[in-house]
Amino acid sequence: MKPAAASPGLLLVAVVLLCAVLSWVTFAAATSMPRMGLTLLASPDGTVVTVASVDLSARIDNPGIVPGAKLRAIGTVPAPGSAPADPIPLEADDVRPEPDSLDTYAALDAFYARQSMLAAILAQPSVMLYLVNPLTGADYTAVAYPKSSPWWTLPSGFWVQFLTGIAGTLIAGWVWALRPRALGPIMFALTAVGLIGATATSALYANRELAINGDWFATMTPINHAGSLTFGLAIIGLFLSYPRPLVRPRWLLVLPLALLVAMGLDLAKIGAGPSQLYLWVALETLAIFITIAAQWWSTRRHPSDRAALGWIGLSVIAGAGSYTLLGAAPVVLHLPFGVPQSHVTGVLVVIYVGLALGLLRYRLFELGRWAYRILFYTVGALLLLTFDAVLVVTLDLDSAPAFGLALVTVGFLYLPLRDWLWQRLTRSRQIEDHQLFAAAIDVAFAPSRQDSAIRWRDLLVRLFDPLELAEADAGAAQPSLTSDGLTLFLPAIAGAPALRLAYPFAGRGLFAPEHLQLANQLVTLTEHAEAGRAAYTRGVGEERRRMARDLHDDVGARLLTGLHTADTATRPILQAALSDIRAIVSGLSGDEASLDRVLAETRHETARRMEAAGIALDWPVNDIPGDTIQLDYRLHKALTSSVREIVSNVIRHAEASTLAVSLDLDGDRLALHFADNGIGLATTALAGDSQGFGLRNLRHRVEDVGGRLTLANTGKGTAIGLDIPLRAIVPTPDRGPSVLPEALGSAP
Amino acid sequence: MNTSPQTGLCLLVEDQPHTRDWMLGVLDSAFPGLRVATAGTLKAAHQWLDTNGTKLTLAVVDIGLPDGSGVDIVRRLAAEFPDALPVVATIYDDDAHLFEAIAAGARGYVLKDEEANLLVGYLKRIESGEPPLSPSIAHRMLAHFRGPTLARPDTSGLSPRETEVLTLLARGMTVSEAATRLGLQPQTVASYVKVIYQKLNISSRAEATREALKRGLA
Repeated sequence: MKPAAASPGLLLVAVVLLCAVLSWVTFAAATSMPRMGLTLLASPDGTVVTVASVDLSARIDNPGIVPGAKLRAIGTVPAPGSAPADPIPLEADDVRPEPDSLDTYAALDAFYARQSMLAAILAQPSVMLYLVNPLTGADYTAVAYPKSSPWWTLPSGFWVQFLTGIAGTLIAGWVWALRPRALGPIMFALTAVGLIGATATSALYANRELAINGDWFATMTPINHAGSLTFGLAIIGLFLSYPRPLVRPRWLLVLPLALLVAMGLDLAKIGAGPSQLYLWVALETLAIFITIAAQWWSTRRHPSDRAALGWIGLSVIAGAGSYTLLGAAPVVLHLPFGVPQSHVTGVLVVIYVGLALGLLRYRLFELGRWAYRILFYTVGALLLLTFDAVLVVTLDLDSAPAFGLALVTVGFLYLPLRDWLWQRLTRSRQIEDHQLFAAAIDVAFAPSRQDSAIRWRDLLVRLFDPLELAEADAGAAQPSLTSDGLTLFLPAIAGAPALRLAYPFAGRGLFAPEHLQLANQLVTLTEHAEAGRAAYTRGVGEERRRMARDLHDDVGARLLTGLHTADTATRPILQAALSDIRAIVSGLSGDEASLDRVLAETRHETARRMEAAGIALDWPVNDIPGDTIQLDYRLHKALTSSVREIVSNVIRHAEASTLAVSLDLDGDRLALHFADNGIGLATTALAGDSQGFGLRNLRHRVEDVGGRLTLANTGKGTAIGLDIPLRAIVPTPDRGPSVLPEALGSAP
Repeated sequence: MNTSPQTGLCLLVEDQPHTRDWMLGVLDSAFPGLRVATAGTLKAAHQWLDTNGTKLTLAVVDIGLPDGSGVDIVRRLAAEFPDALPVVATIYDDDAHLFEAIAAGARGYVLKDEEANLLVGYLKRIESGEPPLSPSIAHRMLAHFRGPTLARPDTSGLSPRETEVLTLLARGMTVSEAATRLGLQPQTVASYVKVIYQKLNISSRAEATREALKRGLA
């Protein structure tokens, strides 16, 4: 059984406590170091130690020290009356911040030994300083009184390194506390372990005044090395497992093995010397870039993973970029404000923030454009620096004109290129307002609700090209983004249900805020268009009802009066006219009728008439799925009138005693067969010559809607076939210009 | 009908003189000996009812009258003179025109453009308790009885058999065809139809008023 996972809060408290303990230890060590209050630097020629500045709180006997004085040696202050002991001359290497840049292990051992000697002198209550006056060149001595330094007097380099370590640890600890079992955050937490190990030790020894105990030094340096290596290896591990796992987890065990090998060589003092650490770091950096590239490839079909990698890539670019700017720019441009190497460590915090955001997958869908923007600015700045350096080195120009020249060149060459790239990347992601309007109208004014829904889906597919388009539970009335921009929710509209679009742009991109804005616009426009259409339809309905009422009340009443005063010859004509008005009125009051309703009415009417005429009707009631088939008014009227006319013919002319009607529904065609047992049609009628007025009208009516009428004498009567398409061949309303966006483009 | 229409009193409400004369002939053929009073307007019909309503046995009412809808007369007959048989005469048999009339209490309808001999037959059938029911009206009734607005299903809901009959009629069958399909006597099916008419009237007295107002027909 797994142990219950500790709550994120508890883990976070543990991380904070750990940081507090480490801070306390580091502070205690830093403040206990005796300091004289001097800032010492190696001279530019690398031979002498110079006093760069003197702290105001420094207690030094007359004649004091002016900045720029050379410190030749330090020694103990002799007891009163006794001769002064031999002082220890200083070497430039003594103030070297990082001893690992020494060439050989022998040199390193000598360095540690000298540190111990110097530290022993500095541990005395007073120290004799052997100085050279920078103005006169005269040797003189002064006495300094080293004391433990309170925290506010610690050098700024210490603070930057110390705070970077703590901040990195807190950030990584926070991410890890949220997801303590995921491989990515575990690796991230390990980077912080390395980071704090490296920065805490480096903060102590690199910011020493002159010397600390060589044994301490020899203890802290390996911790620093192990920390640096762990940091790099853990980042490699992170990119091997996040966002996509690149290797099986057990291969990650290679990483601690590499650490053991490197540290083993370092501690056993085997190899090229202390500076081989830089070789390891360079290898790690290379490996990091390779794993990032592998991740980039591996996430090509996983847009949200790609976006998470984007945060990380962004932070690495920004971090590396500002590192170069802060560290290298002053050197290249000869600017007066150099930033010490220890201060540049602070840039690591940027990378930590980026890594944290990437691991927590924070607002991934908003990242795209920012990543590109920052990339462009960083590339621009780096180009400027590089070009300037090239000018200074190769053409031997002064830095000021070189910088101006570089600025002009980069301005003319890079900025247009950048703009062009930016346009390429963001091109045609906008859809013009008039296109949007046309699209909304197109959806809202489709011939039917089903067509509206189909057009709506088509439009969405053309706009966003999603891999998945599924119905969703009706939720909010507004479109919204979910799952880091992987899915877009759209409310029910235009006869279509609420939809969820996933994996836009064929799975190569994410929905960005501008896509959400587009969807919002589209929904609003379509709603307006639908409201307009509804108002229009209402108006049409009102008008039709008025016409129907007029037909009913005026024309119908007159025809009825005519009918009741007419002779037998005119009577059928008036009855037919009334039938037509009846069909027109019902056609006017509703636009579409379902096939089964139309057939039921037709059958009912036929049955009534056959009953009255004393003819037996054989018309089985079919179980056709007629309610899903809608007939528009023209088809409805053609079908009804045709059947009425055929039945009239049977009643008047056929002299039949039975009529059989059968019905076939084949796809989108309806076939009706009428067979009576009467005297049959005249041969001339069959040949199409002297067809009666009714038959000719009938044929016209049927052919008008794309149907077919067949007449035949069976020998036992007449057979009439009526074949009618269920979709009227009617000119559809103009759909307007075919819209859109072949390339709405994919998300960055 | 307690009083046979042969000897009863009929009110014919029809505004067109020619149609009125024609209908008088039809009524005479259907029910010889029936005394028929006529009215050309809603107002005249109401006045006639005020004095002679209690003696009425049959009423043939046109829906479209110059001063209003004949459905008003039907409603009054159903409420005040249950002995009278209200029949609607119209030229339209679609649900929009007839449903309100049936809901208001009409016990049958006839189409005025039918041949006189057919009309005689239909009127006789209605009188003997076999009212007609077209598929569109049957559909409308089915929808009505399934509808959520029904207030008292126990008294005015349809029985399964009645629903069955209504469904067959809605698919275009005649009463006798439906009877054959269900293995019943045509008279039995006809009586179901009659009950359906009455249930619609009961269940939709209030509702029909509202519906009619909404459609602007009342």
